Amino acid sequence: MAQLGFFFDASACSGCKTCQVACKDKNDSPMGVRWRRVYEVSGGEWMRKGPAWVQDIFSWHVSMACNHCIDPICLKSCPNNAITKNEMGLVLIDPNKCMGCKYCEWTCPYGALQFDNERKIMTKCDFCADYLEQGKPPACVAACPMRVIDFGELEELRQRHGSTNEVFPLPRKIFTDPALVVKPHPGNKKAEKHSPQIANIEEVR
Amino acid sequence: MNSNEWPLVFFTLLSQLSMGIILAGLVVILFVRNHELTANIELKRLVTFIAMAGMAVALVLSFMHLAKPLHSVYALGNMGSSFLSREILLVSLFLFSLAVAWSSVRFGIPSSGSFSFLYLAALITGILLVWVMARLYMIPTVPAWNTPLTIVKFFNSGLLLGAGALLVMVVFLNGKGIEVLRVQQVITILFYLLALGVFIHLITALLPTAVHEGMQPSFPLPVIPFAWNAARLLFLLLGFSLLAWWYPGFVSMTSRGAPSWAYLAIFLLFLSEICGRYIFYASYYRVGV
Repeated sequence: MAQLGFFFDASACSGCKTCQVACKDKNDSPMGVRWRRVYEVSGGEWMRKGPAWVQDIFSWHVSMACNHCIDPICLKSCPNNAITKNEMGLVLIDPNKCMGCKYCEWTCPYGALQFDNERKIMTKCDFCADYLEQGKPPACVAACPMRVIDFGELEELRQRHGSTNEVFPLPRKIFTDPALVVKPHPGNKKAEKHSPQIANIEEVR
Repeated sequence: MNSNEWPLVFFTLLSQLSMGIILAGLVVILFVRNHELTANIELKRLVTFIAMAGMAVALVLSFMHLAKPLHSVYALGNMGSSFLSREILLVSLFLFSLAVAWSSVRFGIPSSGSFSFLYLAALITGILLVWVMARLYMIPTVPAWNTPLTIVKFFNSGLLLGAGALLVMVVFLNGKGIEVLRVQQVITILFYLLALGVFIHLITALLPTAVHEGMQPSFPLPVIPFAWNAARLLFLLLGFSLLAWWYPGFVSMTSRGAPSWAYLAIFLLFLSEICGRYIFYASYYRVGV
């Protein structure tokens, strides 16, 4: 079966975080474990236009979970072979093998690996594999009221939406080749001349 | 730095000390060029015992870092691509080779004649371990660590800690009236090894970091408290200054060459290494989110 991936439309996301809540609810995640997180990005400044000052600001949201990368750095770094990639391209953790060294957490540039302090193991998004087997979409996709998160075969997603996946604050794709397609927010162009910042650091870290 | 990384601070430092003391021992033997020195049983016993004990403690500390230590039985499962798997294998091999070397000089098992071979085997394993340990931290997504400086820093820590520990041992044996052959020459070599280690640390501290090269994170950079940097530099310079003041007194056998000054100097250098390793872990940041 072909590699599955997520699509995220940053131009239409309202930042309501229903996806984050749906993920926590479905997986009964303990406090501090967020398999999906919504980053609030903002920036810009005042510009002088003749005698007046006008704003030149931007703001968008990025909803992010594990991107089930084609070349997952977490899988390569795990000493225990606890992280594997299945026939659908999903990157999964075997809780019976993880020794909680947290090395994978150091390496993942998407913050996908989340340590569960109660179970003492590393956890991450499993793409709601059980829902997929039942023919249902992942919880985050189903819950999104704006319909900005979608999933499917990566090649199909790329044909439909292009192959962009490097919008701020995400890293360059060379590190892991994520199975992700992002439709950037129009404000993304402004970000090139200003320094965008994550506004909700306390919430996502 | 997360509190669960403290065991790693001491695990890496102790592993490097164990490699360093074996390396410093070899350098001393090569420079002094005295076969009688290699026949100094007490020194050989102590060097291999301290290295072995250091690695044994390091091994215990490495388990303390794990949330599920029992699952470490799978830790050799990804030798093909995980530097952590390779590190775990080399930690075990290094400890085993040190134990065999110590056994040969302590009990004559397998045979006291095989000590030189076993010592060299332990040294090679130790060097490989520190190399793999440094490569483990050179993660492409962690710009602060993904630099050849990590290798230089780890080996230099080994040199500094190893030469320091050996110097303490030699001074200790000498003070106990146990003859260490050509002790002044040995101390001179160790003093210059320590001077080299301090010099390399100062140089590496001045070299540009990933942040200087524009590898900025999406999140604000980690803040390393000024006190840690200041303490590291203070301990390093104070420790070495004290050693430089003590060393001529020891060589000329005046009262200023008393062992306690050397112990204090090396203790300060070790404190500096702990501060340095804390700063290393605290400087972690990765690209992306």
